[in-house]
Amino acid sequence: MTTSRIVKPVALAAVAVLLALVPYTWFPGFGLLPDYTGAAGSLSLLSKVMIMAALAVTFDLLLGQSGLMSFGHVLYFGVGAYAFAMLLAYTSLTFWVAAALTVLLTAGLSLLLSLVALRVENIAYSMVTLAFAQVGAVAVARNYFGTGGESGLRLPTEKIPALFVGLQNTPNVYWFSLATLAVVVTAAALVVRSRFGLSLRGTRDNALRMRVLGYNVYGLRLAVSVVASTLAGLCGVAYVVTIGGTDPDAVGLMLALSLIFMVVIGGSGSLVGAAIGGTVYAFLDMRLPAVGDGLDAGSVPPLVAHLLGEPDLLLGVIFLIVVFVAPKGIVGIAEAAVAKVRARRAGPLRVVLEEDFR
Amino acid sequence: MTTTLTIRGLHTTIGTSQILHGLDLDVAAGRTTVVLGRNGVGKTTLMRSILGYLDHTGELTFRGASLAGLPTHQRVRRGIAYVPENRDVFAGLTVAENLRLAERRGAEPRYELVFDLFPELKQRLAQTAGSLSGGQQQMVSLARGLLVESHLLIVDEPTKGLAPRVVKEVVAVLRAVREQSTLLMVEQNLMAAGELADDVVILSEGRIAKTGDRRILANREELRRYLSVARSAEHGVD
Amino acid sequence: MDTFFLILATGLSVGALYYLLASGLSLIFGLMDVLSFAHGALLTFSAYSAIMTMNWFGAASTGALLAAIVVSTLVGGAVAFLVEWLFLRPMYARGHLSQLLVTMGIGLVLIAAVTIGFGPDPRSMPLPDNVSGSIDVFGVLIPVSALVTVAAALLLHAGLMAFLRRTRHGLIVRAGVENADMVRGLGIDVAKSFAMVFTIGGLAAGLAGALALVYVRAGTPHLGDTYLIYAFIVIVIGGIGSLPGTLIAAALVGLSQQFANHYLTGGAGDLLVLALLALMLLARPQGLFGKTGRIV
Ligand SMILES: Nc1ncnc2c1ncn2[C@@H]1O[C@H](COP(=O)(O)OP(=O)(O)OP(=O)(O)O)[C@@H](O)[C@H]1O
Ligand SMILES: [Mg+2]
Repeated sequence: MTTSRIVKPVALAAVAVLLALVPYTWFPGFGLLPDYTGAAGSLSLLSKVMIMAALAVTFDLLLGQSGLMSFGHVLYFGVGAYAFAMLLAYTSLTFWVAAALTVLLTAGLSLLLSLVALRVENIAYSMVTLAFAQVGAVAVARNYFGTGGESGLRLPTEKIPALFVGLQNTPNVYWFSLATLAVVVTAAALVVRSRFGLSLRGTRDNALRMRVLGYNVYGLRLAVSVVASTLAGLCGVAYVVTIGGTDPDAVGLMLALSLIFMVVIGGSGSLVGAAIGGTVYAFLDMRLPAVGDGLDAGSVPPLVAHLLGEPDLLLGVIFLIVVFVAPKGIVGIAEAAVAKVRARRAGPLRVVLEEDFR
Repeated sequence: MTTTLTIRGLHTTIGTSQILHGLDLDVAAGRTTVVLGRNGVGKTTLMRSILGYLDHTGELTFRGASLAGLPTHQRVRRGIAYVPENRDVFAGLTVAENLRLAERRGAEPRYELVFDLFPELKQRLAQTAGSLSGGQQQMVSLARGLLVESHLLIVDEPTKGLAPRVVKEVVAVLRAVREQSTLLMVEQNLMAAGELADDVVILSEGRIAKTGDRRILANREELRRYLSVARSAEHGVD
Repeated sequence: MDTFFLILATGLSVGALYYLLASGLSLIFGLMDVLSFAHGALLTFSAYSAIMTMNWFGAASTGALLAAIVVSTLVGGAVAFLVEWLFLRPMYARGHLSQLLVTMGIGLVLIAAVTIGFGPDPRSMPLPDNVSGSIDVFGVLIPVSALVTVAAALLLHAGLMAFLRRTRHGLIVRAGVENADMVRGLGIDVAKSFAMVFTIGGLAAGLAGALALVYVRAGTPHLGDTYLIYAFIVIVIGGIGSLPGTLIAAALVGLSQQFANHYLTGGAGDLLVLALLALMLLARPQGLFGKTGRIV
């Protein structure tokens, strides 16, 4: 336990440094990436992957750490993206001011909505959060308030700082996403390791007992909701920077549900697991269609190519496989393997009877 | 003496915490076994494990056959009747409907017996169970457990939270029941336990701390101190 | 005045479609604690079977439409039965998250199947003239489709209530909604009721699929998505596990949505429904007819 308090941050920092060096490398993409690692296309894909990983980490604060199965977390990602894009498109606010204002806005909105949603528990809470998020999705899809409708909203180029514009600046965009990921992971890790995080896990495991012990469960949940949503809003801002605008998928039902998938595939209750889950999902989501396209050349029967070209089918099947085969996720599998190795090394269990202590 | 239920090495875990740590217990046929123990030691967990509500390991042998792997409803069909701790009547259903749910194919419902024991219920068949008093709900719950014949009746704290007069009624009913059935019950009310018990089992920290016959109950003051139950809870039984 | 009645009729028929989906979901959730995300896709999948049936008949006759409605209903029930049996049953011991992911996975696969079979673009539903028109009811022109959907919803409601009130299976379901564990404790195999209720929910979703086409006249692979969301809202407002509550909430949501969209501004209806939901949660978290203390 004590070693992991030091080892983990160091390991994560090392990963961050390695990721920061990617733009200087030129390895082949092996089908995972559209191009060599340092190429603009690859960097831009990786930026999106890192944002999804960050978003999954923010969601783990709710689902994994606090047991809050929100179906509406995507709303704050979407609001982050849309509020930021709209502030830039329709007001004279500068880039960084708009970004800061957006994050504040997400926090405020989350506070308001969570005050209501947390009045109910369990699945009713899930449904209510889902309903909130869907209104956001509808507002976007139908182009209310100038959200741009189905086609999304492009950022006016002159409002974006020059360092993020143009193909040659893709590394900067990449680093911005990486920075976002780093901020999100750090903030989330601080929450998880604090007393606050401990109490949250308490409410997750046994809310009733926490209430009896005098904890304000509602208040704890409210606090973590606002923290997670605010961080999700930040991810939304980074998303806009990465793709130069927004699209309706950022608030869509699909992404809302996929977030749950990300956390589960990675291993619920582990921030690193969530980040891995987000990464896996983002790769699947962005590269599966390419797999289908790549096969059309006649190497496989047309029906198979057709099936592979339908990413939702594969995604659905992967959902089912994960639940049936690996309900504890990637981290769960890894932990089970590690535990096995450790048990073998430690030898047979020495039974210590309680009486020995009396 | 034959045993109706034999328990060997019962381990039960709820979530991440282990509640029962290798518990052994014999329930003798035709007798009444009363389980005692401080709050939260795992008495209800023991009952719910026998019923198959909770994941557990260890051997449960009921009338010579293992209960391993059987889901709750099949254990009940083997002849274990259950009257749970908080009565758990279906509040939105009528008394008649609550009783009807306890009917079972291949077993004659013993309505006359039940109405003999609880004449009051007969008047209230059309009333929803949620509108009854606590004592009346306990009667519905007991009536459900008695409606079809069973080989073991498990009753978890039937007198908990009831007024002294009602405690008396419940104990009187159980005294009649114990003449014909094998009973396994949790009963913290030492007066009531004294009236009903043949065998006594004291649980501590998920294990059996002491077993014996009803004479264990003789030292009531000492037991009361140990269990930390208040004396006032026992008025009405003497 | 005519517009008012027209909107009343559309509001009620939209509400009826919500009810068709929500009634099954509410029972499923009340009894099994499973929130099925597959039911939107089930609606869509069945709806396409209705389109196929219409096309198979060639002519858009009333008989063909009736056949399409029956086929759609049965397809919904059959798929639901299989889903429960093959995928959901192994998950009962594993908790909400696994069940949820399973239903989501099934939903994705069903929608993908529809997309692969019929493409992503809308497929129109041929309707006989007597159904696509309006009829004169006491001097007001009411679309026949609205009458059909509302009638179907009321019939389903009556049928479900009769099932719940008058049969032993229904009694077990009602008891199970309150406390499934205690039902097991009386020697009853609740899993059978789970299968039955999930299948009933599938039948209702299938019926909703065909009738949604009668109302919107074209199917897309995402036809069921919006209905599913509003069905969830209806369930929460009505009180989980209460069918009368679901019925009233469905009408309330359908009407508010359509009236606000028409008399205020497009999209105001969605916001109004949300406001209703929020108000309900603040004033009465258990919903219109839900029981206090059983806030799930
Ligand atoms: N659902 C649960 N989740 C976590 N812990 C539980 C759960 N149910 C019971 N426990 C714990 O298991 C232990 C034993 O509980 P149990 O209900 O069996 O005790 P008991 O002896 O019946 O107590 P009482 O006298 O209060 O009825 C307690 O410490 C309790 O906190
Ligand atoms: Mg107990």
